[in-house]
Amino acid sequence: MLKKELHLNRRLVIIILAGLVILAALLGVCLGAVNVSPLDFIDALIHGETGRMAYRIVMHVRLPRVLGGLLAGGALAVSGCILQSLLQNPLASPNVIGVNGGAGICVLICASFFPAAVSMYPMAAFLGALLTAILVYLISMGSRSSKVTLILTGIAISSITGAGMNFILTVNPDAYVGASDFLIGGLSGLTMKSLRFVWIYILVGLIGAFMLRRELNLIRLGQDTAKSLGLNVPVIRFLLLVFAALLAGAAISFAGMIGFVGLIIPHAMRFIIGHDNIYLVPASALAGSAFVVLCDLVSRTAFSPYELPVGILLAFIGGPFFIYLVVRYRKANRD
Amino acid sequence: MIRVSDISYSYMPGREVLHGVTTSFPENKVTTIIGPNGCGKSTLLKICADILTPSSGSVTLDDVDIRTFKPKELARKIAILSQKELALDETVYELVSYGRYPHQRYGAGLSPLDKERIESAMETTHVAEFRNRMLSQLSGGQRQRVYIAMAIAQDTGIILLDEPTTYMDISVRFEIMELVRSLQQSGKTIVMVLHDIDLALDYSDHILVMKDGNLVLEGTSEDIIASRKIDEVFNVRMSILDHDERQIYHFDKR
Repeated sequence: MLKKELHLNRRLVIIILAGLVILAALLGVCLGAVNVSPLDFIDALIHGETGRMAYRIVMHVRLPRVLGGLLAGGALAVSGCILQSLLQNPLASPNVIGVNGGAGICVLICASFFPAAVSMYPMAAFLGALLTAILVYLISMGSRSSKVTLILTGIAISSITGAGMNFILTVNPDAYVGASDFLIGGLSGLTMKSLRFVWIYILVGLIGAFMLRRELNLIRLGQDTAKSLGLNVPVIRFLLLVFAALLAGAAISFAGMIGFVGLIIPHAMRFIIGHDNIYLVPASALAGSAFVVLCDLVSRTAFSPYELPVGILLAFIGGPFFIYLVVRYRKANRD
Repeated sequence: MIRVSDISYSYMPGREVLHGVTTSFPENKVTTIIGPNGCGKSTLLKICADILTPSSGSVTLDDVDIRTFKPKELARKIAILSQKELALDETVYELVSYGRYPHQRYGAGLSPLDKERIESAMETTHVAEFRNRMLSQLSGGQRQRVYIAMAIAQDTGIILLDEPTTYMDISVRFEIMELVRSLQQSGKTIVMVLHDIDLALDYSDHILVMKDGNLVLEGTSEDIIASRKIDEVFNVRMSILDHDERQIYHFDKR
């Protein structure tokens, strides 16, 4: 257990994070292989010069990518925030417990059988994420299993779904355009059209999580205490699972198997503002959005002219962070 | 008044842990349930707070079945402090403020009355000075007082405490018992499960003795001592010594 958490003024932190989101979005839109001046773009927008280079780069390449990063980052961070409280497990996050895998395999199944139904991907991902989340939750509750058992179960589910996705792409290589990016997690090739429906899922998930922030605090105390405080535990628990799955599923449906955002961001935010979900949920949403956009910016500019899918960079950051958390909590439990 | 009528409970089929227990907890008194490990004390307490649902029988509060209350409505009448240690990552103020949840409207923040009740609960339990500390930074006794503060902030007439003194230093045990007594004197009905027979005899107005899922005896401390049932239930030999106008209980193995 960390004892030197900062607990800064929480409202101020949220305002700063909102500013960081705007700054990240601006940088994401303006910087890249060709730098675009915001004034140049605004000028093109005002004069309706849709053929101008600045307009085309921003509207067709950078803006969808930045919006996708904002949506995916916020959604995955809040999903992680919910799952960690719900499962009372600091190591839980959508990718670690297999929820991303469940969403991913359902997207590929949907893409294989209904190649034209792109608008159905978020729904398929949501159902896959929800089924996996319920399965993991039942395992964690039913057998009174330890925190480590839950994580190992998640890793096993991720392995199975990963094998399933590879199987689908082996027997049907054309099932998903940009399959390699999907398996790693990336935002390249995103268009405004591919975000057309998914933002609704994420908005619903974020509003739901926002509305249940107080209940999320009580759920952290355990089922008996939450019930004794007047919480309708089964209903709230199910709703939280639905919102976590909605958020993770929607993000996976267009950004692929992006991992670790739901682990890194809630922990970083807890370190800064504490564990109260009243502040933690909005702070995680904002920080997750800014983080993914900035990571995507780094992954497409740092190795120019090559471009890395953002999922690779996130795995490089998230993997060691996960190991750090395992060691830290093992030590805390031993102490 | 809480009345328990013919309560039975099984954690799994064929393994009943409570067998038709019937009793009541007098209002504005401290009632303590004692008995050997696994006799069903904590189970009975959880059933009284509707955390567990009995396989048969009922629990009524002022002649109304507690299962007919909505969750928040019941939480405004009965608070329970479980044996399990709660999250340690919260600050003292955050945890105590959760006790106000049953009184809050959906989506509303803490009202001035909520804040007043939280302050009062922290003052009563002497934890106000730690308000911004995380629970992980407090001693076991201080944490227990914070948990009790949360139950006090819930502002119920009845407080159920499941082994509030377990793992506490002897001085902390007395401190917690004095706190329990002061709560009773402020008008609360207290029902608690205790392992310490001597504390139960010293601080209770009413005692229930349980064994193997059955209620074997109930009454005042004097009734319990006079019955000599403690020896039989706990398989010990209890002797009572007089010291400074007080009775000291001594237990030997039988």
